[in-house]
Amino acid sequence: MRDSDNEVRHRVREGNRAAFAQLYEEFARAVYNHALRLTGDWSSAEEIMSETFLTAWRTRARVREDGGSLLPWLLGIATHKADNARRARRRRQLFLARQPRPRAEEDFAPRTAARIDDARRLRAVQAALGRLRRQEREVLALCVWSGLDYQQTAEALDIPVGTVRSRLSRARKKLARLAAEAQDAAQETSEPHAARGEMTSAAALAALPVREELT
Amino acid sequence: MIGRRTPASPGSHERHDREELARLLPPPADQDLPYEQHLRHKELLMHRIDRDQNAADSRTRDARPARRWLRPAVLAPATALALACALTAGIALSGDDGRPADTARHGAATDMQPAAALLHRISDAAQQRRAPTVRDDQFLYTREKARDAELTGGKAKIGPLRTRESWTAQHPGPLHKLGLVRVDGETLPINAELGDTEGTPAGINRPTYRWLSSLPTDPDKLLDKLYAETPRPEGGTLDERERDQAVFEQIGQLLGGVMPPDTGAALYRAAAKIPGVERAPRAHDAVGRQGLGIARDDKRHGIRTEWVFDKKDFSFLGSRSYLTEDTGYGKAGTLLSSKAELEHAVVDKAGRRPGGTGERAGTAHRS
Repeated sequence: MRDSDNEVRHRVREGNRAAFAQLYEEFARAVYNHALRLTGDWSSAEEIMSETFLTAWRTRARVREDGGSLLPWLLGIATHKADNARRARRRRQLFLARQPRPRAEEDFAPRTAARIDDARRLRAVQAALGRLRRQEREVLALCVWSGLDYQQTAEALDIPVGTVRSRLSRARKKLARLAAEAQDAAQETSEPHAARGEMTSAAALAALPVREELT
Repeated sequence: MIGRRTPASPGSHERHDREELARLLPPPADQDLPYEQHLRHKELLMHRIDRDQNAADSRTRDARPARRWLRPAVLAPATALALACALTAGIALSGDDGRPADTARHGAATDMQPAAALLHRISDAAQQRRAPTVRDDQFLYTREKARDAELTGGKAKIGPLRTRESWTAQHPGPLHKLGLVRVDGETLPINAELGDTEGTPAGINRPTYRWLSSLPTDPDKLLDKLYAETPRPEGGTLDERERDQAVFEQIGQLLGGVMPPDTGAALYRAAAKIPGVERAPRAHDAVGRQGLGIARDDKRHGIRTEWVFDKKDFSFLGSRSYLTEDTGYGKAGTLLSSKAELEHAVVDKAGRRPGGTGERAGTAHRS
């Protein structure tokens, strides 16, 4: 496995056309999903994915000779682009506010109900991530959802492994606290038919009332 | 790399931590693009590779991809659409649309609508400011306080007030690194606009001092240019009233930096010609500074955008936008964004704050 990883790296560095085609086949979906989780927006995600591979091609010389899979490298590029997209989006906040509200569903209205579930799931992901700082979001998305290990996450973000650990541990504390708060809030306001601890943390998070962003 | 950790590595520990985190988070929403779309992006990549390889050393420059404006807010579902719409961005709008002459774009410049009168005074003050010297190898430093609402959850949720410092490169480019931004003690590079694989050149999305200086100083010509170049929401309707608002907001985005005096003066006079621009009483910026207000209402979406100017020297203090009607995003009055300009300067290096001799010169030059 490792030899073939190095072989792939070598060919990518050389600018081998077939190697890039293979890279695309293998990782486009992973890159797309990573971008989708970070931005919460299908069209941004699509553009980020496309741009990630173009950037990969342009910066292929920076790939190291040895190391494992090239996925961390690609996800690192995509993370960067996702941040830019978010920033551009904030700059154009007003445009966003002008979209009809059930935007996600509407875009895909002709599609199936599955798409609406996708939209709902995506929103839950965004709601959870929205309560974290950017650095924590990125580490979480890479580590938990894209399945990179700590070392790979460090590689993707170009930060030390220790930093990955400390960001994750901060994120975990914050999420646990938010989940607990949401649970308390839910118990105060709703029928106590859900026994304490039964509500899943994720659902609790999604139910969390709007409040100042916690940092 | 998964599965080839050294035996001593904390693999199980790590897994445990990740599992615990996964429990705290919603499921990852794994999705995929339709096959045809994947194919299209792959072809784009292959095409780029072929092009670059054919061009080997005698690089032809003609193939820079058509510029795709990224406005995720209003993105059409497909990139192809985005491309198509970018092409329409060059179409200028027809001028007068039959609104009363006193507010129409080409209305007499002497009309003394309160908003126009104020903008003319602001324009005169801008004209009087000293023009700093800005070299291509320098950076424009901005320190501001700002807060923005996050809308991705479906409801406007205003974030905390943060101090934001930025250093924007003045090189005409195209550049891949546009400068630095420091928020909450974290310094990050500003990368090229998404879609600019070859880098982002100076322009309306990256307004360098030199680019601003190159704009027409005749307010009518400037306004025509702004109507033509203000990015158009992809897939958006070509409603002229929305266009007026977009141009008003575009001007707002250009304000609040180090500004060539002639351009600043022309921008305010151009703004005075946009229909629907009015005075805003009790306007204040993100840090609560009260001042002279100029505003425009987007009646269609129930959003008001206000600019605030210093009462004494007419400098630009900041801006604010909020809902004026109950919408899906929140109740009337919900803040969408606000900022306050605190400091501007020309500096030699990104990341360096003004203060050294020779760099002070540009400080506090507001548009």
